[in-house]
Amino acid sequence: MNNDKTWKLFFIVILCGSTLFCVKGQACEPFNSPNNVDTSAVPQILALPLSSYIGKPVDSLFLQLPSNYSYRGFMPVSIGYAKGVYQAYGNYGSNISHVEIFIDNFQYLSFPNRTPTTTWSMTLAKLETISFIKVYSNNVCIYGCNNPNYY
Amino acid sequence: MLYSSKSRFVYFTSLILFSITLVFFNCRRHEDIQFDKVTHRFFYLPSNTSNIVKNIAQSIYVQNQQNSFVRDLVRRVGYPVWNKVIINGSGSNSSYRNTGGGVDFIFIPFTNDNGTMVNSALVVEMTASDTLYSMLYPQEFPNFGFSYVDTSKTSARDVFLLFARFQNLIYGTKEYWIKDNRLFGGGSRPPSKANVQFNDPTNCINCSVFQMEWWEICFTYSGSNCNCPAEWDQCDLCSICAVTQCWSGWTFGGGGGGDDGWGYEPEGSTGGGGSGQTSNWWSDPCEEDAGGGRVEPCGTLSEWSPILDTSDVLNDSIIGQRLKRLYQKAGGMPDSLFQAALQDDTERTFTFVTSISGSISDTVPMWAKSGTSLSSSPTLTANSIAIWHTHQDDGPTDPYKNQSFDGPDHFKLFKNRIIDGYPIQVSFITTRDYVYAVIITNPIKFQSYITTLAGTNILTRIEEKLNNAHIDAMDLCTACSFQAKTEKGILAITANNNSEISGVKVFRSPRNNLNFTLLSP
Repeated sequence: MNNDKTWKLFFIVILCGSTLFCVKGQACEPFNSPNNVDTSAVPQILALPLSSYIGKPVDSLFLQLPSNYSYRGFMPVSIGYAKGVYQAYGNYGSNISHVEIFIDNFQYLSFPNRTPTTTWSMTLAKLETISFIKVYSNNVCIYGCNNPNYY
Repeated sequence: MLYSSKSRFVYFTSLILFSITLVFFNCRRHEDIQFDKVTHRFFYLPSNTSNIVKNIAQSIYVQNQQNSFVRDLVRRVGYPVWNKVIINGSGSNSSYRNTGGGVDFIFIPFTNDNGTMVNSALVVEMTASDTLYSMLYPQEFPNFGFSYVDTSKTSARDVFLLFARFQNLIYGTKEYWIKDNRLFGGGSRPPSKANVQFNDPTNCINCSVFQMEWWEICFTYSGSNCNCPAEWDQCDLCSICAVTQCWSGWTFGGGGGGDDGWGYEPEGSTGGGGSGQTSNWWSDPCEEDAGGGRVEPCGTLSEWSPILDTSDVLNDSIIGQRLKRLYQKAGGMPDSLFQAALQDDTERTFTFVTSISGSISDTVPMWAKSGTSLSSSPTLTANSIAIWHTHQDDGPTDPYKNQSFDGPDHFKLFKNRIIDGYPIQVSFITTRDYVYAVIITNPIKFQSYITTLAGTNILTRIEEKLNNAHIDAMDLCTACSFQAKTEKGILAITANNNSEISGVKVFRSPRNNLNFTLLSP
């Protein structure tokens, strides 16, 4: 019986170990997972009345944008400051897009905050007021372009 | 549960086999994903890629799905440089040639990450009814013949000029050692240094229809004794013999009637005007019977070689001198703008622009402008070669004084040069005590390093990733000054100032006594 337990343990270790091996490795990131393939984000984004969200909380736009985003983060400027937040669709390939949401006056987040943006509160950022919106498809600006105040 | 010895053996053996299978498939999955990385990179197109190139990439993508050749192709010749494609013709299959009309040629160069030469070019021949693919290797040039009378046919010289143009576009190469005299002039000229010039495409004639360029190649022969060839009649003073001979002409589309230029037809080809290599064009020509008179391009190219201007590109002392000279071109402008930025805490920026007046080319600072307290955006044009901005401090107690480059600064350089395509080579920052400069030494490595470091192709995410990597490095040095922390930060996102990896070099100079030296890790 002890041998049985030993072998079962061996089997479990192999199962978990081989799985963890791939989970840990960057190479196992699923490039083609549903969140990394954007097939409909841009038309859905452009169908929104984007200008109507100016002056409203960030979350009001987040709630209407396509929910299958791949990343949501901050747009840093200098060291410890931000000019807004973004939501992205896809990661590689020729079918990527992202929305840049500019915030002129932060009321909930305080700066400078010289920690990586991964530690910043997106919950508070959602409460901030939108000043400007830009949309990119395959890294080419397709909405809100050429405003010299938002680059 | 009780087992007999035999059933226990079967049970344990099954467990072991299952475990091995599990590990095997996990590893296969790992390999497949590695393959995906290569494929993804192969088919990653810059945002400004033309539709005709996108269509070609899409066609190759479909071919690869059926034949899985990309990984082997990348191993042999590297990745396609999609933003350096040469299009010969209208790009719309329209009939523009006086003879053999309705043909477009698209040439896509392939390079290795760490290489300094263009390894091959994919030639895509588009007619109204068909599209033919073939790989062209520089070693194949003798196949095309050395007769330059019938300009409607591709010659060995055309092959050389095509690769020379790619070398110039990708690596900035302008000089070559040319050992095969049949390319230019024949005779017994010894291996000579040749300077190849291509004109500014904006000056070409009828550019909207043809994409063609004027080329000129000049050989400089330096003899040390009286063995100058007879045809070099200028060599009267053999001891100081230094002669220049030039050839010139139209290429990639032809001049005047448009009859001059590319017709991909190697001598001896049985294909009749085309390479006939659409089938399995991706195959290694050294592993199959070439046939059709095509010499297998398996040897090392020795008849010409680009002269890599290592003294210019890699010598830090020369780079430092050039940075100083460039910075001094702005005169007192950086200092006065820095003082203004200090007064109103508003960042200033300007652009160094190449200005051509007649035959004289000069660099001038232009378009000084203000930003916000934290950032600015320079005006950029097709002749912008460097950008400058301030990192002003707010006062004697402000911890931000002397701040070196930050993550978003480096991102901007990446975006301006790689994504937007402006020919920016240098980014300067003036701080209270120092001037910093980042110079791009290899744009391809720069692009590869940044996208690999960020793990994404989404611009804003690249910026955020660079920002965070910079801040992580700052935090590692707890006892450093703010200036030293920010220097650690920029070093962290430039592979510790290893340009062989990052494609850039970071320099620093005292502000009051300009002397740019490489920033040490």
